[in-house]
Amino acid sequence: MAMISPLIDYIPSLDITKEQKRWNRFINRLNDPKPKVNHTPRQVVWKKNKSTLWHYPAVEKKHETPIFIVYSLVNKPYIFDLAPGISAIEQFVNRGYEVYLLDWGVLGYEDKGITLDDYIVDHIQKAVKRALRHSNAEDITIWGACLGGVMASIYAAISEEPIKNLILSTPPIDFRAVTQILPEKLAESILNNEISVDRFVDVNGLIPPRYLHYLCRFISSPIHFSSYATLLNHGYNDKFADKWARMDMWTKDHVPMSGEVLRQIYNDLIIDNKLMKGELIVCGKRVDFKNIQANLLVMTAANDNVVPEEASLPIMDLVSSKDKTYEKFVTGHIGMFLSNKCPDFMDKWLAMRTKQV
Amino acid sequence: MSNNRPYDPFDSLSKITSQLEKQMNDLIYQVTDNKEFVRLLKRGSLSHTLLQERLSKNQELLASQLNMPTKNDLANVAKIAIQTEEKLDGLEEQLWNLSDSADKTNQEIVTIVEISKEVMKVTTQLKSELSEFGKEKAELSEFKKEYMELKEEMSTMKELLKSFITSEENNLTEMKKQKSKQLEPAKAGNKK
Repeated sequence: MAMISPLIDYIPSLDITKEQKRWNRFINRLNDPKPKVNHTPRQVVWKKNKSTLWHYPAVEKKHETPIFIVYSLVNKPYIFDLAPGISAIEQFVNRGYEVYLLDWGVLGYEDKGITLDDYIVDHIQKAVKRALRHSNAEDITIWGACLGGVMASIYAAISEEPIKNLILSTPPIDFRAVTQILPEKLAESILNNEISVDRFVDVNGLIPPRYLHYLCRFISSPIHFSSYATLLNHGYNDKFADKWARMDMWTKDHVPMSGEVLRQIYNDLIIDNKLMKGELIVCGKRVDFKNIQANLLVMTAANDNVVPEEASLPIMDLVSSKDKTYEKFVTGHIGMFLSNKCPDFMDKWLAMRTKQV
Repeated sequence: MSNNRPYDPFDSLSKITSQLEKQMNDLIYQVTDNKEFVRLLKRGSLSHTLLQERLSKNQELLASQLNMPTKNDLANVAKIAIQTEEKLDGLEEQLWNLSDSADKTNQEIVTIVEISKEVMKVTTQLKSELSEFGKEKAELSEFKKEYMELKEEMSTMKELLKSFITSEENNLTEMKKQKSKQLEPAKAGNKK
């Protein structure tokens, strides 16, 4: 008996209600319809082709300079506004910022010829002009995330608009560093131009979301089932189960990508690494990061398995900005948008660099 | 009483699956990290692309024979709609520029009106000052006239005084002469 009694402490007590809830949530979460997202009040400012410029008015305006968000072309941007309490946009709106979000929408087959140049000049630049006009602001803060960070920095390098602050979260500026996370031989073949995407792009035109999903999986984690075990582990917790469902939906919710954009990213940014060399030409203008004078904040994630720190860091030395800040968060590639740490830090950083109302 | 948490099988399951997942991904990484895999990937993607290419070409051919629109035809129609939207967008921007320049002109007009008001105010002030100046000038000329009259009167008076003095001097000389005449016989009598 003396041997058994300490072991009794380790034997879990069976809580029927908790277990019932756990298994119900687990089964329901896998079968439930998709949860609703984009809860923060917003209105359309401008539409162009599939893109939409959304305005999220500040609850009580405290800052003159609005925040303009440019997101990646691979996923949908509702990661910024996932649910009450898990929304970067909600946090900024509550802190008195006017927020604008450029949503790329879902491309159709007719958009297969859209290039990065089109996105930067015809969409981002025009949307920034619209946001400036709509907000009556003298200048603007551009926040680019992931591939959106690359596009935001390219735009900032060729823009004529008054960009006061440039915030980049996990931007893969040095694509060569991104290829380091791939198997060595595969990366070598890509960089030596042994694997071409030209024919693939010519045939497909528009890259289906399923392909992008598998590509992202291949880069980050080809086999992925631990999240279901995590759901089962915390399934009895309503808040956790809800957040899990939203994240699960978002990670699988890819959008089609224009083949021409994929060709440019692959040939110009990955193989030729033109961004780092300052050789990229966008609508006849050379993209030279030295032209960026705006206050710069670069944020990376320590546990990022898609964009390593080395891929984002080089921009710190390439720009002419006098005010440069670098911050590394102990989180993952997406975790940055879900926790309060990042918006808290950004708010403190921006408060010193934006005009108060 | 022990401080140890009771054993949670779900927590362990979660940890085990995470480890298993990591190990399987590492295995995939190792398996794919060789030239053979790259060659296989290259060949696979090429054959897949060739197959897709042939399929879409045959589809196009069949559709044209059956007089049916293909994905490309629909895309071309959609592109026209996109172009129209772009033109509208451009027109909207031109309207912006026009309204901006109209606003600028309006602002300039407002500034000109304000300046004109100021000029009018100054002119009115100058006018009133001029009329006051005219009045003062009239008063001054009146004063000058009076002064001239006074001066004339003074000169008349001076002449009158002069003539009076001359006549008085003449009278005095006459009187002196008459007196000396009266005194001459008396002097002569005394001599006798």
